[in-house]
Amino acid sequence: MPEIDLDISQRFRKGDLDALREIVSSYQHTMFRIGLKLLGNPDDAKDFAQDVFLHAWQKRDKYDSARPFQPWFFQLAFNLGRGKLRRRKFTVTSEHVEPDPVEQTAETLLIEQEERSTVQELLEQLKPDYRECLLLRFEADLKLEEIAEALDIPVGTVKTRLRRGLIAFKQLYTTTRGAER
Amino acid sequence: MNCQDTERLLADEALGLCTDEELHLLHRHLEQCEHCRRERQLMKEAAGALMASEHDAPDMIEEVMRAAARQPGPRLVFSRWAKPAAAAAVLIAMLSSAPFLLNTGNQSMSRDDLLSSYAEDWGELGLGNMLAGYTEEFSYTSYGIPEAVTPYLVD
Ligand SMILES: [Zn+2]
Repeated sequence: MPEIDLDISQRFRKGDLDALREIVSSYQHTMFRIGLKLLGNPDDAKDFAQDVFLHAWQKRDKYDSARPFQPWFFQLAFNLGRGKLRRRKFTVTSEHVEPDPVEQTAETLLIEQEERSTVQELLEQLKPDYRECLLLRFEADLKLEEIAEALDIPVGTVKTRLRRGLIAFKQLYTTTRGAER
Repeated sequence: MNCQDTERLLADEALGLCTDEELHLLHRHLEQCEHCRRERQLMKEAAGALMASEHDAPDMIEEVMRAAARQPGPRLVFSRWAKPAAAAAVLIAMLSSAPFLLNTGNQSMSRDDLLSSYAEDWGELGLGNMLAGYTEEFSYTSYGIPEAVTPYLVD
């Protein structure tokens, strides 16, 4: 993930579309993967990632360009993610449709999708604070200090959240897989 | 070191947070504890499931750029009257949502959850900031929004 330096972020703040292009190109894979973990399928993940960029663009006047771009950007992304999850909680109950196995041609695709949605469903059961720390560590590959900065919390708190989050996730994951076996 | 301390260290190990000393202690315990060796395997599998997926995003640069180019910018997005109209549309969507009408206790999403999720839409519409110049004139109730709902909406 190439870094967004101050020059790019300041141009972004002023409405320079080329700066936005550099930001999209730097973060599109990370945001897509975070979207996959948050929402569980590629279509929603792509929508999520695109929404993040467009929201950032719309709200660029809220970004303080004297400060690093990344923390502001991740906070905006997670706020959006929380909103999407809340809204989906409401719609999924009425519209949830099981994938039709007949329509899946490759079995591996199906298994991959199931694994992905299991992880997504389990992550959704974690409190957002823990979920977001884990995503920044595993999916965005941020260092502890970078996570602390992005979430505006002390490094010690990041460690605690990562540890507790992982232990909780492991319990959920183990239980689910135990039930499947 | 007991098995409970080990759980913390196993998590730290999977997160790459252990010091050399902690790793040494951990391995000494693992040598003599089958339970924790099994737990370590489960922790590894869980961390593996969380690892970055290999999936690359479908290229979205051009799509985003086209959409962004259509947006004139933060201060010009909505006209003075388009804004309350959009707000009213969100309210209508909210009021016609089933849980809001039914108000049953066992919906997976409570009325409060629902309201707060829509409240975010209000936030997204940026009423607070974009109507800064019109604050004296603007009130939700003047657009027919019930007073009971307004505490859940952005100022
Ligand atoms: Zn043990």
